[in-house]
Amino acid sequence: MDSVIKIAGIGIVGASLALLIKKNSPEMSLMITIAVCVLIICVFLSFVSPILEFLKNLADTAGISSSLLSPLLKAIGIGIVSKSASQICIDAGESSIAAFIEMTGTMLAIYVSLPLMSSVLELVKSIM
Amino acid sequence: MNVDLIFKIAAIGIVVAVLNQVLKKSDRDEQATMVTLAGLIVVLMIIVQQISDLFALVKTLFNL
Repeated sequence: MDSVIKIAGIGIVGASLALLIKKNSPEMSLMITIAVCVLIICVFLSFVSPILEFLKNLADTAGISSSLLSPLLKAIGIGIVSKSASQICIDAGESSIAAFIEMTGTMLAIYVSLPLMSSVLELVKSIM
Repeated sequence: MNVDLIFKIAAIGIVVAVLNQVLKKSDRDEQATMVTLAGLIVVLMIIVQQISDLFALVKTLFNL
């Protein structure tokens, strides 16, 4: 629980530091923003592995093979990376680059879940 | 990956900003630009290392 307070503190301190430098040298403030975001994502990822373990347990208990679960995990990873990259680009004032990063992330997530969708299609065909 | 990194980058940023202002006031604009550029490159080298660590972590965690 104290991780939340630590993250909030780091975020606020980082935001004020970035604001302090923004007027004199905006590119430095972007670097500080990137550093704070990377730090927070690292803490976030350290909490995600027990949740992933639980998901895998759930899938094993339900009898779903892990090849069906992996597109889901890949889509989550793609979502995290593309969202953070696009938000940093928006902070830098490049909202068009951010929009294209998001679009590519969406397309990649669909591409990665194609095996899942084709196996659902097979299932539906075999029922009919 | 600890908080000291942010303070290091913030310190470099503040030093670069102050040097920038001082050089601009004493009418040496090219040197000011070069100082800003050098500070940017130093900070970028630190950050790119951290970003590559982060993406390797995401890759192993999500089996990408």
